Amino acid sequence: MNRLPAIPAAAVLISLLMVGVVLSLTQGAVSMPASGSLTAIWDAVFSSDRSGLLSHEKVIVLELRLPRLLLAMLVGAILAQCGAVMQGLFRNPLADPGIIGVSSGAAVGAVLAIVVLPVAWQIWAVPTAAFVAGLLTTLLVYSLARSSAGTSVVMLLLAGVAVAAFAGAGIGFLSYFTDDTRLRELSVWQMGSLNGANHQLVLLALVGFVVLAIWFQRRAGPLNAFLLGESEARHLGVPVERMKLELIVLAALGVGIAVACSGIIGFVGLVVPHLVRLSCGPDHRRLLPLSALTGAVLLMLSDLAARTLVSPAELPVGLLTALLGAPFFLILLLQQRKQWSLSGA
Amino acid sequence: MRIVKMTGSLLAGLMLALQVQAAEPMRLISADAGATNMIVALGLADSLVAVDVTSPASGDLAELPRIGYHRNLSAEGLLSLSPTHLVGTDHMGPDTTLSVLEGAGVELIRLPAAYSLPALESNLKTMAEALGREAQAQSLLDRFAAQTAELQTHSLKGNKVAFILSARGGFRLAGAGSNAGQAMIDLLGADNVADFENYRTVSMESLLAMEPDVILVAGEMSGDPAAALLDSQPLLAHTPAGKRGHIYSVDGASLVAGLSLAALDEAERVANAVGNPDPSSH
Amino acid sequence: MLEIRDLLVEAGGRRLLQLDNLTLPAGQFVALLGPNGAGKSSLLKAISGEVGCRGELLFHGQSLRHWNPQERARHVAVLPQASSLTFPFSAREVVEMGLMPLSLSRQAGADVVRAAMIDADCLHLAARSFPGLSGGEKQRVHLARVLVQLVQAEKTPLLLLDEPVSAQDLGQQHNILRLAVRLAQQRGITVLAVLHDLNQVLRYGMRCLVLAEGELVADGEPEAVLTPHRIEEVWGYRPERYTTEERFALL
Repeated sequence: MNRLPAIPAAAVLISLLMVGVVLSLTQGAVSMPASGSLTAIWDAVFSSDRSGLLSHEKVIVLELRLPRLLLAMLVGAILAQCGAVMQGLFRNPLADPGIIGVSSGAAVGAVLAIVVLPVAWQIWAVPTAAFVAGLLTTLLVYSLARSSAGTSVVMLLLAGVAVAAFAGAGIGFLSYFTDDTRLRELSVWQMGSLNGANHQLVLLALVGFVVLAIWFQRRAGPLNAFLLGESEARHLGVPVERMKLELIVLAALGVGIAVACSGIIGFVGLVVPHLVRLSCGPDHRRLLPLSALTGAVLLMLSDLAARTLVSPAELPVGLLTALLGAPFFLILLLQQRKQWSLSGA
Repeated sequence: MRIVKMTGSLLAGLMLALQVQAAEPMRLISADAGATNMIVALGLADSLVAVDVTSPASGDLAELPRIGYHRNLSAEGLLSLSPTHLVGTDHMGPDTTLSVLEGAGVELIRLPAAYSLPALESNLKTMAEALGREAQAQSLLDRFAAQTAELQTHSLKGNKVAFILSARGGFRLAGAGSNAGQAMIDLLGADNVADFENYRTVSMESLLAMEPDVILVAGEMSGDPAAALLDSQPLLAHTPAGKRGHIYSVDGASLVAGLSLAALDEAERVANAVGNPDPSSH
Repeated sequence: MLEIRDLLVEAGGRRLLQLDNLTLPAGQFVALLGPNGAGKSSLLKAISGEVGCRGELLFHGQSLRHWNPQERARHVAVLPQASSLTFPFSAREVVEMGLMPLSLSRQAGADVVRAAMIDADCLHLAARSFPGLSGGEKQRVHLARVLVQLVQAEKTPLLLLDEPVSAQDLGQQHNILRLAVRLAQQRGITVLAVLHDLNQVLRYGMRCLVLAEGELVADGEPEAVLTPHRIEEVWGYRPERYTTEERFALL
C-alpha cells in the first residue's frame, strides 16, 4: 500500500495554507503593493504604521480580505471534518453531510425566512433559520432511523432521502407563493458565498471549529473501530449508540454553522476526506486533522478564485466547489463500481 | 467596524474638502436596471463605469463591466473601479460591502423599487439631487406630466387587463400587489383580471374564464413575445382580447426593476394601440 | 465461569433459543453444533450482548449486563463470521484495533500485536490492505485482533468464535483449531466455537453442545454425543462410523 506519512503531509499542507493566506491577503480586485497588504496586518497587531497603504486600502485588507480568508479556512475545515465523520458513521466513502438531511432542512428554513419575513430582518434571520432548521431536520431523521434495536445506518440514509424529497416539495410550494426577487435571493444563497464575511462570523466559525475538532479527535479511535462494524465496535467497548447520536448532532451543528456563515457549499465534505484517505490512509486519528487542513486550503483558494476571476463581479464559491467536486464524485462512483465487481460484492 | 467608521469619516472629510476645491468627475456604478435607465435619461451615461447584469446592454453600455447580483456585491470589485457613487435599490448588500464602500467615501443612493408613478418621480428627484442634475430631472418630470395626461385621456378604464410574463417553460400571470405587471396596469388606468397576489402560473382555462379585454405579454426572449405566445397557446384567440386583436408585446426590460421611463413609453404605446377610450362601446 | 440460567431468546413471537442451565468453566474448549436455525447464533449473540434476552448470564458471578463496557471488552471477545470492513486499513491496523479496550504502552502494544499475528498465522499479511485479503485471511486477521483484545484480562476470558474455520483451507482449519485448544489449555481461555465438521470435533476432543430447534439436546464428550443415532435425529443424516486405532471418524 502506498501511503504518504502523516507528518510530512501535514507540513506540506501547512505550507500550502500559508501560501494561500499570503495570496489571499495580497490578491484582489483592488491592486495594492503586496508588501503593504502584509504589513497592514502587522500594523493592526502592533499598532504601528509601516504599511504605506491608504486608509481605504487598509480597510480592504483588514475588513474584507482578512475576515474572508479566515472564514474560508474555518468553514472549509469544518465541512471537511464533518464529511470525514459522516463517511465513518455511514461506513461509506460516498457519504456527505447533506444526506442526513442537514442541507435540505437548512434550505427549507432559509426559504421560510426569505418568503415569510420582512426583508430587513433577513440578514441575520436567514442564517439563523437555516441553522435551526438544519439541526431539527437532522434530529428528525435520526429519530426516524432509531428503533429499540439501535440506529440503523440504512434507515438513516433512507430517512434522509425522504426528508430531502419532502423539503424539496416544501420549497417548491413556498416558491410558488413568492415573487421573483425573493426567489433569486434563495438561489444565490443556495450557491454559497463568503462575501458577507465579518468578524462576528469568523468568531462563530472559530468557536465551532475548535469545539468540533477537539471532540471529533477524541472519537477518532472509536470511529476506526466503528468501521469494522457496529457489533465489532461494541465488542471492543465502544458505546456505539451514544457515539452515533453524538456524531450526528455534532456534524449537523458543524454543517449548520457553515451554512449560516456562507450558505450552502457542497462537495468539500465529500471530496476532501476522500482525497486524504486515498493519500494517507483511513485512520481517523490522521484523517481528521489532515482533512481540516486540506479543506481549509481548498476553500480558501476556491474563494480567491471566486472573487478574482470575474471581477468586478464574483462567482458563488459553491459553484466552483461543485465544478471541481461533481466530476470527482463521478470518478469515485466509477471506482467504487469497479471495486465491487472485482470483489464480487 | 469602528476602524471603518473612523477611517470613513476621516476620508469623507478629506473628500469634502477636495470637492469644494474642484468638481471631481463622477464615476457611477449602477446596481439596478431602473437606476441605469434614470442615469442615462439624466444625461449621465458617460459617467457610468459599471452596471449590473439586469441593466440594458446596448450602445454605450455594452462595453461596461458588469458587477454581480446586487445582493452579493463585491466591495473590492467595486472599489477597483474607483466609484464616487453607487446607485441601486434598498435591497443591495451585503452589509459589509456597503459599510466598506461608505467608509471609502463612496456615496450610496438607495432607491426603493417603483411600482407607481409617484414612486418613480420621487426616485428621480432623489437621484437628481444626489447627482446635481435637477435641471435635467425637471424636464423629465415635465415629460412625465405630459405622458400622464396622455394616458388619462386614453385611459383603459373599465377594461380588464391580463399581464403575462412569458418564459421558456410557460407563462405566469401578474397578480395584484407590488409588481411591475400591476404597475403597468395601473398606468393604463385599467383593472387586473387576476384577484391573487404576485405572479402565478395559471392554466389556459382559468385565463379564458377571466375574459381579459387586453393581454400584455412581456418575455425574456427578444422579439415578439406576444406572437410567440399566440403561437404556442392558440386558445388565447378566444379571449375578448384575442377576438379584438388586443394582444400586445411589452418590452420586459423596461419593467424588470419596476417602473422605468421606458415603461411609460410602453404604456403610452399600448394605450394608443388599444385606441378606444370609452369602455361602453365594448 | 460462565453460567447461563433460564435463557430465552425470542424474536417476532418466535422462540429462537431456550436454555435452562449451562455452565462453561475456565479453560474449556466447547464446540457448538447443530443444524441451521438451531439457535447457535442466538446463543452467541445473547452472550455477546447483541440481542436482548431473558434470563441470567453470569460471567465470573456478575451478570454480563452489569459489567463495565471496557472491562467486558477485555474479557469477552467475539470473532465475527463475516467482515464488512471496506476501508483500506492495513491488516496490522485492524489487529491494532484490538488494543482499544487495553491500556498498554506503544511498545508493549506492538509486541502484543506481533505475537497475536504470529499465533493466528497472519504476520506475513501485516502490511497488506485488509479489503484485498481473501475471506480466510481476513478471518485470521480478526482472530489476531480478538487475541490482542484479551491480553489484559484479569479473570479468565471468554472467546466466542462464530464459524471460525468455514472460510479456511484444510491446513489453516487445523491450525486454528489447534490454536483454540492451546488457548484453552495454556491460557485458560474459555472458547465457545460454532463448528460444522463433526470429524474435527471428534479429533480435537472438546466438549460438545448440540442444539436443535432452539433447545440443548446433548452435552458431553464428542464420542458419547455424536452417535450415528443422535446425528440422524438432529441432522437428518445417518453416517457410518469408522474406527481407527485412536479414534473413530464419521462419514
